[in-house]
Amino acid sequence: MTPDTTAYLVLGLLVTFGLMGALVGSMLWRYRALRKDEQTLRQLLDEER
Amino acid sequence: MATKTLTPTKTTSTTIPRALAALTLVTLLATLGGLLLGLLYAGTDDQQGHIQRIFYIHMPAFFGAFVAFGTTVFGGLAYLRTRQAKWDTLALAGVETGLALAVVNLATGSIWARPIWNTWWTWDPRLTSAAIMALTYMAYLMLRAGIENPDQRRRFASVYGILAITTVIMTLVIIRIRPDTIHPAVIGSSPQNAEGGFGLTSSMLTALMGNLPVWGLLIPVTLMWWRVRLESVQERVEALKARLGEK
Amino acid sequence: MKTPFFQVVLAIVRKDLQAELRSRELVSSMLMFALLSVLVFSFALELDRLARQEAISGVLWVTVIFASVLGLNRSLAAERDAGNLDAMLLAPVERAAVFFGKLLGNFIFALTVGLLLLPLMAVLYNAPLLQGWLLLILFLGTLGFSTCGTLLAAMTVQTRTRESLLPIVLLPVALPVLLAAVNASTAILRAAPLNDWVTWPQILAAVDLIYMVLCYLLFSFVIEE
Repeated sequence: MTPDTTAYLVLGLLVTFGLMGALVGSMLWRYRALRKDEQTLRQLLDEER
Repeated sequence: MATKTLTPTKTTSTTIPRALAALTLVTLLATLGGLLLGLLYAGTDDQQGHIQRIFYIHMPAFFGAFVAFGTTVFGGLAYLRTRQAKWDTLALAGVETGLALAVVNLATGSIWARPIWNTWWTWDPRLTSAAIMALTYMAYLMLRAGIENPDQRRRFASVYGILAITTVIMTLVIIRIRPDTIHPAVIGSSPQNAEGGFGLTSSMLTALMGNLPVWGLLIPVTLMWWRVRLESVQERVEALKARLGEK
Repeated sequence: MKTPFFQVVLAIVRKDLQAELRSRELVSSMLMFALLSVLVFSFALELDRLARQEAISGVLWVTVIFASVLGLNRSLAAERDAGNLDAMLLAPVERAAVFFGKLLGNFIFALTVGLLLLPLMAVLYNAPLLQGWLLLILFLGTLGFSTCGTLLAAMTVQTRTRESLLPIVLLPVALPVLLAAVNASTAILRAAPLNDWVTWPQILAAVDLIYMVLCYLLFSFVIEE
C-alpha cells in the first residue's frame, strides 16, 4: 500500500525553490542598491569637479 | 584625463561575461531537466509515495553545500597565502551559497521526515550535526559583521572558514561512528536502525545521478560566480566612497 | 636571534600561572560559575535518580565548557588590554610558541576546574566520577576544547562584539570534541564494557591532534598586523 504523500512533495519543492529564490533575490536586491549608490556617488564626484 | 578615469568602466562592468551567461542558462535548463527526471522519470516508491522524490534534491543539495564550503576553505587558504581580496570574496561567496544549500538540505529532510518518521524534527546525531554545521556558517557571517578593519576581517574569516570545515566533515562521517542514528545511509549499508531507507531501483538511481551534478556542482558554482560579481560592484562603491572622502 | 621555542612556551605559561596565583581571579570565577551551574542544573532538571545517571555527563561537560569560555575570554582579553598581543609581534619569538604558551595556560586552568568539579559532582550526584578513564577523557576533552578556544579567543577579543562572540564561534567548531567526550563519559558511568566505547577516546585523541595541528598553523595569521 503506497501512502499519498504528494502534498509533502509539493511543500518540499516550494520550500526548496523559495529558499534558492530568496538567495537570488537578496543578491539582486543588493546589486540594485549598490548600483544606485554607485550612480549617486559618481554624480557627487562629477558635481564636485 | 581625470574625468576619463571616472566613467569608462561604467559600460564594460555591467555586461555579463559570456561564460557566466552560458553557465546560468545551462544551470537553469539542467535544474529543470533534473526536476523532470526526479518527478516524472523515476518510479514511485511503494512504501513512501511521492515524497521520496524530494530525496533527489535533499542529498545533492548537501553535496552542493559541501562543494561550496570546500570552496571557502580553498579561498581562505589562497587569501592567507596571497593576501588578495578576491580570494576572500570567493570564500564568502562559498559560505552564502553553501548556507542556502545546507538550509535546503535541512528543510527538505524535515519535510520528508514528517510523513516517514512522523515528526518534523528529531535529535538524531546526523540531523543535529547538520544543523550545527549550518549554525557554524551563520557564526562565520556574524564574525565578519563584528570586524571593521577589512584586512583583519578577511584574515579572521579565512581562518574560521578553514576551521569550520570540520563540522561539515563531521556531518559526513557521523553516520559511521554513531550507529544509533536513524538516518539512512545513501552510500554503503544503512545503520541497523535506519528508518525510511530504500533500495534504489535503476530509474531512481538515474534520477539521483542526474540531479547530483546539478545541485552538487552547477547550482553552487553559478551562484558563487554571481556572488563574486556582486562583491566587485561593492568594491567599486567602496572605492568611490573613499575617493569622495578624500576631497 | 630568536628565543628557543620551549623557552618561550614556558615563559608564557609561567607568567600566566604566576599572575593567577597572585590574583586567583580566573580560576575562582570559573569555579564559582561551575559550582552555580551544577546546582542550577540539578534544580532545572529536577533530577530524580534515574535521570541523574543519564544526564550527569552532559551536566559535567556543559559546565566545563562554559567555565572554559569564561576563562578563555578573560585570559586573552587580559593580553589584549595589556597590549601584549602587539608586543609579542615585535619580540623575536615564534608566534606558534605564543600559541602553545597560551594554550597550555588555558588548558591548565580548564583542567583544574574540571578536576575540582569531579569530586564535587561525585558527592552531589552520588556517581562514581573518580575513575582513571574519566580523568583521561577529561584531560583529552579539555585539551581539545582549549585548543580551538585559544585560537578563536585570540580572534574574538580583537573584534567589536568581543566576549559575546566567542561562544558563538567556538561551540559549533568544538562539537566533535564535545560529542566524543560526552559519549565516552556516559559509557564509563554506565560501566559499559570497554570494547563498546573504546573508539570514543580514540576519536577524541584524533580530533585533538587534528585541531592542534590546524590551530597551530592558523594562529600566526590571527596575531599579525
